[in-house]
Amino acid sequence: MIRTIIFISIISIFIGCKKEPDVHIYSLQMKLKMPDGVSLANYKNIQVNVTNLEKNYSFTTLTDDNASIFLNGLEAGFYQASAIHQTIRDNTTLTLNGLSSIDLMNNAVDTMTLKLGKFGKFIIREYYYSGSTNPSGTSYKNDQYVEVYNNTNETLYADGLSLIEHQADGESDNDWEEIKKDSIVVEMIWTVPGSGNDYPILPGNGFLMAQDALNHKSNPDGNPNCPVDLGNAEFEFFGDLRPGKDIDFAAKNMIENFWVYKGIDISFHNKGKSAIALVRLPENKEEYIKHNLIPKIFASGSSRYFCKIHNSLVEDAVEASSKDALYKRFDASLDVGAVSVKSGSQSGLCIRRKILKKINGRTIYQDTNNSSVDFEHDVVPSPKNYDL
Amino acid sequence: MIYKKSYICVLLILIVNNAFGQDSISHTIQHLPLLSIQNIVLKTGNPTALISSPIRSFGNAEAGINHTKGNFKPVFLGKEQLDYNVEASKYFTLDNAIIKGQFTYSKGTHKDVYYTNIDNAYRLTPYLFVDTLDQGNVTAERYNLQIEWATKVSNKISFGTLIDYKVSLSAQDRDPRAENKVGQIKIKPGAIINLNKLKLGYDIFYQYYNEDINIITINKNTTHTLYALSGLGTFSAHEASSFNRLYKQHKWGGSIQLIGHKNLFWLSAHKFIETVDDGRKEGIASWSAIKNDSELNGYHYQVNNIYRIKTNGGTHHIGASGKWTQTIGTEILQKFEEHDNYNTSQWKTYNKEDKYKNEIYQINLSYQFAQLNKQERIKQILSFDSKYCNHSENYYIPNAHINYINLNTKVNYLKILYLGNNELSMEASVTYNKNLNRDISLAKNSVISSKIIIPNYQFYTANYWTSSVNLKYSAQPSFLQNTVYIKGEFSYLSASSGVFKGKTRTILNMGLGLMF
Repeated sequence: MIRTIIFISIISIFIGCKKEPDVHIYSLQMKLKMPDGVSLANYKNIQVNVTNLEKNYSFTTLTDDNASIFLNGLEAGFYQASAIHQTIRDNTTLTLNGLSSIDLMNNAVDTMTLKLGKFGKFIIREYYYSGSTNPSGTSYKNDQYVEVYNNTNETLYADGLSLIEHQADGESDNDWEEIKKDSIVVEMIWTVPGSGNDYPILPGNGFLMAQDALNHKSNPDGNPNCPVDLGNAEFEFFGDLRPGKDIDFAAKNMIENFWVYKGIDISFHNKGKSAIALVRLPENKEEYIKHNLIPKIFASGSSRYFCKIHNSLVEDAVEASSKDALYKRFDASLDVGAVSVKSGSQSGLCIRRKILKKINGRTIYQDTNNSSVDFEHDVVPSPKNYDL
Repeated sequence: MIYKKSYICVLLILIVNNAFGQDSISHTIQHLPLLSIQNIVLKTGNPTALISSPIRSFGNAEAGINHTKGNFKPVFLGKEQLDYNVEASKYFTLDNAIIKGQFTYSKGTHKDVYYTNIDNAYRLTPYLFVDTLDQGNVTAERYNLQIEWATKVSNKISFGTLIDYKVSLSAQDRDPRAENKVGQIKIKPGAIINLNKLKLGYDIFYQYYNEDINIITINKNTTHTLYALSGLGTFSAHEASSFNRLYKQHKWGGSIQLIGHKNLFWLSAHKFIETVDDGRKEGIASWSAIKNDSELNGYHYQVNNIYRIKTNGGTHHIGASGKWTQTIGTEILQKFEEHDNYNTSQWKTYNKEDKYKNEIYQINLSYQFAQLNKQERIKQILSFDSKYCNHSENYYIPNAHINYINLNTKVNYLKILYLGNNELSMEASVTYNKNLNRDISLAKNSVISSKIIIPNYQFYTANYWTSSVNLKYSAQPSFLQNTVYIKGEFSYLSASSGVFKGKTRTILNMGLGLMF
């Protein structure tokens, strides 16, 4: 009898203490809103990509006739939804981009407003920021460069085209979130010299902006482990802060218009935190910068002035990121995505725009204003090789 | 840490001093196995059971090495391990109390360890922390100090207490370098009440576990991808040059025992709460911004019974036990946001969600036959153990699960030869692990699934044989009043199914000891 009671008691305790997890499933309904003045013949099958930012996974779905998506069976989390749609109007390809953040803690109904993508004629083809490793094992970053490409069928002039670096590093809150819709805030501006017709770039050709324009592989000042020869670069960044410290190589020097953290030479974050863009500033750049300075007060109490540039002046932007972009810096009309070299710093690898097609031997690169899909990452740098 | 080491050294000196302060009598290698045969109540874990020990003065000091090598291993285990260890233990009396003190120290190098950055990846938590780089070497030091005390306050009541303190320090030799500091303390008081035909025992315990991981990168301008796992292949990744993680676990529970002349029954239960906090701010480690990663709640229940039959030929022990363990994991969703009132950023909690469940059911059946000689010393022991274990893990949304059932059977034989004042103990065992059922369904393929979850699943569902031999020879040299011994143990594991088929692992343990 006693044993029976003990046995029943034990079973009761076991069953009584058994607990099931309190699991919740959520749904997301999102409607895509078109930009003012834009209507489509068919709103079905617009591709929407949804990414769980914390867990690093994403999935793709298509809109219904009402330009809406409905997703069920989602876990709670921080999501980012992005949409790209291209349509032809008046023989011109229009690209619509949208980006929306969703904190899914309950069933959610949301709206994503699409924007008309802005397209520059010059695009950034390769961006090599990771740098390489010296034989001694130390970091080598002097081989960083940006390659700009003429993606049109007409001759363009590089004269006056500026390269900027965004002030925020993308790893924490973008302090300029409130003005992101209209402007970017930059910490440096460097411009191609020339009076307007000095540096023609033919269709299907490009040029290099090198940190140091030398053959890094063979030059004694270089690094034998470096993957690139930049001896044929058209332009280089030359710092004059400490004469003799930055070697002035044969390439033409870029013009320093604005450089908040002035040093011996420019340097992009080799972890990929430097988001860059090509911009066309008004002719009187000094005046423009002077009238667009914007202060930032840091936690320490110190402050610095940065420069605000209107989004309409941006030719092309690439949201390089050290990880999946939690803190976007560019507006969706400039770059709806983000890209990074996953192998990390000192990997000797870069990001390169994908080829869309070739017309009569001329390469046309993909430019949907979404660096997540427009770029390949972790590729071996191949400047001026337009078969890649 | 210096304080902790000094504390341990002082207690060690006390144990050894006390040890050599006792009357020196002859001790043999059969003492400890004999203890558990004659006093099965010692198996309950109630510290008060020490009062029933016939041994009043016995000490043991041992130094040894342990070498493990082979490819039949779970993912987080190194391909080769070499550990040096020293151990000292002593039973002694103080007034009416019996005291047992024990100190162990080991230091070793684990070669070719993949992925893990935590001290013990097999603690039944899904919230592990790993990197993706090639294998590295881990150096680990472990200290353990245990004091057990029991006294009889009257013919009816005895009390006892156990204090157990563990420290572990380990470090990796390549970036990202994890430095682990683990501390664990356990306090367990208990009592045994003598009823007429029965003794009633109980004990309760509280245990605190703390693992502090500091990950650093020596090479400048380099970041690494670090993965915070959430269970069954799910994870969040962080690109960082440094990282801090802190595991804190509070565990408490108790046990009641019914101790009869022929039968021993006990029931135990415990609960634990473990929190995982990350010290990270953007891409760097900083405890100024604490991210609460997850929480684990666990329950464990166990019921045991041992029935003893004594005949002229020997003593039979027939045992049965059942265990059930459940853990539920909760993920904490936080975002790094600027504080409203201050110009600082902190992790803000948005939600907590139950996402993970782990359940283990285990049934054990055992039989032991022990035969003593006329001097009441062990002649031989034959034992048989069979363990049925059903292990299931579930992750919810996206749904994934793993389930496997194993039957593990072991036969063990021990024989002791008495050669004058010398003794030779010979022990051999054979174990066969048979997988009865298995099932895996993962939500997606990922580097974590393919490198960790699936290989571990394949290891735990493999059929394998283990053969072990254990030899121990003790002698009393004429120049020494104490007994010295040398021992050697060798185990050979060989997988007989699945992807591990034909792979093996060997474990060699050599030791030199002194009994006093």
